[in-house]
Amino acid sequence: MGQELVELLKYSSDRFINRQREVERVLAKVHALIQGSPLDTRTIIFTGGRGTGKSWLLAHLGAELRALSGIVVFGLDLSKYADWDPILAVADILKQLGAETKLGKGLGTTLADMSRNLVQGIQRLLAQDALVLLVDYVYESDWKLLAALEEYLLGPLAVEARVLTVMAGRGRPYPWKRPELRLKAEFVDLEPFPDVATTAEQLERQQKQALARAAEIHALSGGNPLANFLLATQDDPAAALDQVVEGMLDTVPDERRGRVRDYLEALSVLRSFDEERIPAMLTAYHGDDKYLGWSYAQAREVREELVRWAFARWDAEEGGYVLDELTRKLLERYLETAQPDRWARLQQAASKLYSEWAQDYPRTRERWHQEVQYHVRQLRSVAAMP
Amino acid sequence: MSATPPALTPEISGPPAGFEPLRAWLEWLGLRFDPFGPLDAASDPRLGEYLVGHGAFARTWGDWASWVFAPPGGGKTALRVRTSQACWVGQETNHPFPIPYIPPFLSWGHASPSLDEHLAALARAGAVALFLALAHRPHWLFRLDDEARRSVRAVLDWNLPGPLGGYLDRCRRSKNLEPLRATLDPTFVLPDPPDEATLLRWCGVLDAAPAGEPRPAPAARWNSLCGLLLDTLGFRSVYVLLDGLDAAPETIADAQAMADCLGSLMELVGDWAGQRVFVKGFLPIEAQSPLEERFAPVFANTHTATICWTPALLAEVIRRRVYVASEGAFGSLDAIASPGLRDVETILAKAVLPLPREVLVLTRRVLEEHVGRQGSQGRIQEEDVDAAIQWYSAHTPPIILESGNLEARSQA
Repeated sequence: MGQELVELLKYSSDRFINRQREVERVLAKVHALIQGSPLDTRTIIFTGGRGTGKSWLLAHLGAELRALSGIVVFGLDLSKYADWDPILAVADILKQLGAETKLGKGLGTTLADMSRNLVQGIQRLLAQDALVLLVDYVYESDWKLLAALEEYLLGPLAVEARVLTVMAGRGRPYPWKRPELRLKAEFVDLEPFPDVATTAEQLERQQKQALARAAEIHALSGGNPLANFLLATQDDPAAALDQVVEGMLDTVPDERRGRVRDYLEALSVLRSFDEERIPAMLTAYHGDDKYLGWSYAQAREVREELVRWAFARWDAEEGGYVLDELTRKLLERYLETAQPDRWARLQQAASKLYSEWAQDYPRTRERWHQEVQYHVRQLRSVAAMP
Repeated sequence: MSATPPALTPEISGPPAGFEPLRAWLEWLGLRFDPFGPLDAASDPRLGEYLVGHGAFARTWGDWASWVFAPPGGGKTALRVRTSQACWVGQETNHPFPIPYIPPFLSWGHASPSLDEHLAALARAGAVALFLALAHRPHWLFRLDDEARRSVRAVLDWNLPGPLGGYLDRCRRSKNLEPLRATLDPTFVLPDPPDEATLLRWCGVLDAAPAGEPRPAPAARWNSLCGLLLDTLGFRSVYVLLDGLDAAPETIADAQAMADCLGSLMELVGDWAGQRVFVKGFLPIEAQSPLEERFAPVFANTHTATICWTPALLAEVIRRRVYVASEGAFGSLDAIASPGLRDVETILAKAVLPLPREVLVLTRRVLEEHVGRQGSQGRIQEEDVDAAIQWYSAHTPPIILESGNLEARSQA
């Protein structure tokens, strides 16, 4: 850790690859709107793990759509409003949309007035042009912001036959009240790039000097576009992994990033976690017993932080929180190669904790026993390596 | 289908004992509110966020007539409320106008209403909804011309339960909408009610609107209301949300009586659809066969869904509420339970009568058991679940299931 952070690329059309299917899905709906053909679903929500290219996709869609006539495009990045009061944030958004649609200033002084005037103005605009809303960072946003955004903007516009809403987000799906945003929405999960050829195409456009290592990079990244880019910036695999991890954490503010990384590393060997497991893992990670005395509230703060930055989510199948899968794999791989003693300590701590649980909780003994076996296998697999 | 047992109804008057410690504990766990508190769907403003049964709602939501059948306590009212809440987003009229219609058996004194009786009751229900909506959105009235305002005045004068002037006086005295809600519908709450000055202005405008003609027959009153909603105010459509069919002594256990009650109304369903007025019935399961047999042509052109509660669906009731209450942080009681528990929702779902209200009652009991035992800290323990199930079993009336068919299904 401690290397200089690689600057992440900003979108430009000549660097964008793949995603033809997703682009065509949106374009097909847009063309229908322009022609005035009825559309039953007018909301598309793109989801996917960290680094799968959601924001780039929205940026690309914005560029493609703005080249068309008969359509107005409004792009909105909710990450800008992460620290704003939700009411002020929505007021700002309404003003911006008013300006973008040339509805002029003076929408009103209350959100209700602004919303009403804006929607009325947009309804007049829709007689000539269709409207596309591109909204990024949705699931990562505060629910109070989303509730206000639905009430004053997205909800009223979702009903309009010539409005298409395209959203992107990672983490906690928001329970929209408006059926057009939930029941009648199309959900598209962005997958990593499927093969080495696509990774190579990306490197050709973004990191040409690493093109020869496309297969090695794809094997490490699983085809994740962000990971591909970051791995390509370094020749040394260990340094590359460290850079990739730091890059994956780019969305976390500087002053919190170190702590969040520690939490993620400490939990990276687990298949799932919760507040009960956090103290034991932090103890093993830091080699410090003080974490064993942690309260539930302290452990909960760790969990909340990871969920807040969308690096962890509740998984019903696992019956616990799971880390963003690529981030988890990269972190564990990094620990295995760069800090093997620490990695082994974490595996041993997990095995010990689950053994105790298998003894203490007869009703769930089998579940915890399976976890013990998993961690024992992990330790053996490393021990067996030459 | 199974026989329908009486639902468990624990005595609750006011906040239950231990309310504050429970709330403190839920906060400690990371829940922003008590998701198992409101048992009455009509008074739950968050229902739309955590209602399960998207298949049935998908059948309901849209510009078409639809029917949802469910057993007593099986979610009919919850779905009706959800449909109504889904209409009220935003400040404008670019959405359906929902009219909750619960047949007023008490005021009729019988359960075989004529068409006129239905239409009079519908016009009244519609006028109440319109009056409250206009009170919350006075700009809809302000932008009407004199002729249109006269139509509004006429519809309200003809159909409201009491004199319009009386309601307006109460608003003027209190300077807010609470008297209207309290008198007409306490569950009708929209965001952004008008400020005092706007409300007083609205009262003045409505008062000053010239009175209309003498009160016409029910059919004309109903048609005027629909014309006002669709053509003058610009709502996209009207949804008549029919519920409470099993509320009368005559209908409560008599499926044929339910069908008789709706007879005159069913004949209008098709015609109304052509006028953008769509009937959406939330009806007892016992009424399904008699209605489908007797009004086959109507059902051939409408959407139907039947809600049956499986343990999986009941478990989802709990999970959705936990998810919303935690603002998406977690979606299961397992997240706040000891490692000795797994899939708590399914354990509870299998322990109750197959109705959502029952699983909510039991879940609430689990929380209360914990607070009683351990106060406002700690995670749900096995003892809490065991004690709650024991309590529930001791209070549940015996039931005999006629059929084991418990698959949730939607029908074309």
